[in-house]
Amino acid sequence: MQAKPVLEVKNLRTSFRTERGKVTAVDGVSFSLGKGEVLGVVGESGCGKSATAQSILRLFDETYTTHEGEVWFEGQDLLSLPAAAMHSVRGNHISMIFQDPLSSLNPVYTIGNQIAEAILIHKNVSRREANARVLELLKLTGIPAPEKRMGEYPHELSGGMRQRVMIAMALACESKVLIADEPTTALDVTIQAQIMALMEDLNEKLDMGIILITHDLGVVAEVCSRVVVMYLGQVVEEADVVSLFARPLHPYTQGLMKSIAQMDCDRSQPLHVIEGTVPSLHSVPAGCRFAPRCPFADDLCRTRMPELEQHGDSQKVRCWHAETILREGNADA
Amino acid sequence: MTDMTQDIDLQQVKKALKKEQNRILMQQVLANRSLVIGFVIIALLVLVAVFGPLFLTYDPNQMDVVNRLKGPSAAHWMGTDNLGRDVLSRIVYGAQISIGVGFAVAVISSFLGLIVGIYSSYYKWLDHVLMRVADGIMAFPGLLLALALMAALGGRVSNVVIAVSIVATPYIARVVRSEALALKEQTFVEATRALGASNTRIIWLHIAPNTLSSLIVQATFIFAEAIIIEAALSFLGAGVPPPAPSWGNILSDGKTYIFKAWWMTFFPGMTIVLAIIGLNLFGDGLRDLLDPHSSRGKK
Amino acid sequence: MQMPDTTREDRPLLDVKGLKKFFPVRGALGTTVQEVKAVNDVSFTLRRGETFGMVGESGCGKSTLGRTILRLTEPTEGEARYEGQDVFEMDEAQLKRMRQDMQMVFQDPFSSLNPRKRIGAILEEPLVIHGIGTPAERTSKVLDILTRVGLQAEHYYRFPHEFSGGQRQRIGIARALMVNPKLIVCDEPVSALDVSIQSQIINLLKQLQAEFGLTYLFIAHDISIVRYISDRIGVMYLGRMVEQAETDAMFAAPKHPYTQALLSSVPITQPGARKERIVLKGEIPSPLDPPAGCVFHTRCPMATDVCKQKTPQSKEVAAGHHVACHLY
Repeated sequence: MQAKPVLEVKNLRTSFRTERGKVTAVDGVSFSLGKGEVLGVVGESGCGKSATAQSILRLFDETYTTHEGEVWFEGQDLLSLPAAAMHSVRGNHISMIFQDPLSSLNPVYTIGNQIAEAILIHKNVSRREANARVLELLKLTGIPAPEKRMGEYPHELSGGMRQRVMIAMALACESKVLIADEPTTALDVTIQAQIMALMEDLNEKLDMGIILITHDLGVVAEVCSRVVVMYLGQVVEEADVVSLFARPLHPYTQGLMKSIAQMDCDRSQPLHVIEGTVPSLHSVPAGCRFAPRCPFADDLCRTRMPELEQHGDSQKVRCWHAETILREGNADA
Repeated sequence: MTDMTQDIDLQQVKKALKKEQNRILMQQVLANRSLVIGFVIIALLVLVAVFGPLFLTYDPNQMDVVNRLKGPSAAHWMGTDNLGRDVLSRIVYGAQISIGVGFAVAVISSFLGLIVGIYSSYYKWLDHVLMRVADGIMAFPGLLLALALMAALGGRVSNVVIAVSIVATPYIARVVRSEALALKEQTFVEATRALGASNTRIIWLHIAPNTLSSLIVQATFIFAEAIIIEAALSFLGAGVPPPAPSWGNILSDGKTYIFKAWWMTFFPGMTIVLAIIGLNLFGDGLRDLLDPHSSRGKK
Repeated sequence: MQMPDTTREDRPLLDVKGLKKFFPVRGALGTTVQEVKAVNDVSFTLRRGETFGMVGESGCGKSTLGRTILRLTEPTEGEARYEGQDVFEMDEAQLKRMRQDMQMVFQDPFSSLNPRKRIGAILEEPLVIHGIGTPAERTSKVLDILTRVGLQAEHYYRFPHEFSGGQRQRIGIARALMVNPKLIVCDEPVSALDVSIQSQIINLLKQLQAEFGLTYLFIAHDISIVRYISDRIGVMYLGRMVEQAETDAMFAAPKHPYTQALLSSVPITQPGARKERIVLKGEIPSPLDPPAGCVFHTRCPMATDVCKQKTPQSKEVAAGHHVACHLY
């Protein structure tokens, strides 16, 4: 479907040792990110979408965490690299931005200093050149009054501006991949619109691959080209964005899409509801993990776990009944 | 759905739940090593203080000049002091006084500290007054202030309790106040206000119960601290008036003979150390058990 | 949703006029140096049985507005007539009585329940405060409400930490319902919840409204949810109400440039079929120092000179559609 992927995650499993026993937050996740592609990873809290991102960069404390599987980036398996080698990957080749940009910025240095620092670490340039580059980058991110911002401290900026600074930082490192973990969740809609426009713009201009982790299907629909839907640590569906929204195959994806109050939904009808709540990772259901909440579930679903299988040419689904659902269609969606 | 739930026997549910919750609590208690060890030490000391006298053959104040300054032996397990009194008997009786004083101080200063802490967290002007007074008290080294207060009050057991309580109260009040200030900002306090609850109700039924766990932890440390201050006061001759056998008094008696009769200082000293270790272990254990930020919550 | 014409039923349940809430910012010497104009001259009415949605971005003052109406914080100026009586003039006893009628559901389902109390005690407390019923009657009322909000009687003796976020929000709603209120202020009741749980709670709120004839002031930043649940909507920006209208009228033809931008910013779930997004320039100014004239003029694509000088008054541009903008 696309050329050689920039980043490829194969069968990633991340487990934590906790007081109440071992918990597998990411369970056999595989996906790939093409060059210049925006891949959405969606799911609700506890689905393992953030844990997946953090595992790619190995951000967890490895005394409590075990990683299995492979993460291929530029011909290297990141999971088998020595810990020291990961430092040059983080920030340098793969950057990550978080929901709360304030905690990712050092409060005692100015914005300009921090971005310049990132440039100086990765490139052999003079301080003056670095500063010029900082200004250029800040302009690129569309931050208002970039000259003034360079001399300001993180706490003086608004949430939207901080997120722009984080993006400028990723650009400074000339990262090939940007992992954005809920980058707009803490922002207001009008600011979210600005940041989304910026990310699309950068993706087009610089061919940067972006993994966008979010719970907001609207954001996914607007910026992503391909989507991975996660539930309880597993990928339940993967598809290009048009097929996913036109024809969601997994009952969870369907439920999720129907349950949000869309801008054109009928206000006199009750919203669609996915019954029950997401189970705890400590007590994962046997068989298909979505079975206890699924309207299609039968005995097979409750006893045996389905595999992620190809359906049609652009869609993969983890569901025993995908064929039936595909054949009968989901008339009401 | 309504039928099913209406007929449910609530008492039955309550019993089953209580049982389950108690079982979980018990598991956590037993898994908490410092809590268990601390508890065993304190329980032993309290048992000795309460029931020990029944098994003792010597009166703690009975002098026996012939057998003075005798080392540990089968007759006197911990030896005798300069007046021939049995050291073991004195330590056992002293446990009543020392632990009693410590406990009384912990209870009184907890009570006062709770009131001061809660009200100063809730009313700003009161906070200014009370906390300046507390700062004033805390500015002095505790022992020095207790000494001065003893000088003013006179040497009696009850005065030791009063003096040490005054010294300890601000430490409790501080803990309660900071806890209560954080609680005040919690939404449930505002929610209760929105229900129409009065300030008194919010303070005593919502804020105070939530400060109790920190208060109890702090109180165990105060308990230990009070035993030390009492011992120090008595050692300096400004505490429990002799010949009553408080641990500090026993130590004080022994100091002149420290090179001749080590047992006169060693045994009471070790008892104090044991009590302090027990209380501190217990306090640490309690903190782990009660702290809502530790593992007990959701995870 | 108005009832047929008796005068009492015609009168709005709550009539807010010229409400202002300024928070003083104190300098080193305790003098007021500045004021945060959290709510600045807001007027609106709540009709019986309707849901009035209040939208706006963070810092626009919508939450402060809700809390001021319930007098959880004292207003600076203005009036709020509940059943004809000004809430801001009430004495302690009247206020307590009013709180049986006006309740609140909070955003954070974790901190809004006392962690040391069992669910039964939490829900019985409002009845105890207002001296309603015998202990046995209170318990049976709690059991009744528990089932109505989708929980079970078994939950009576549980502690809050044993519940998920969605279930706790149900408990918060149950608590508000205990005293049979007429008006519930819902302050971002679903924004802390997962998407699939949000729809459960929204449906519950709608169903309870029909069951008990409740009136909601629904405060939220999520525009699609506000659109779904509200009969009428008010849009706030920097402490001011810039537009209010019936929901359908508002979405069919938003008048204020801010509303237009806000509605167009909402991501829609149809890839490719995207309408033109109006991306606003710049950031929301600080409420410490709001722009002179129209508060929106610094970001408004249609601002003219008059906008920088004169604060626009609210005008009725169509039946029930009020806009505060110099364009109209």
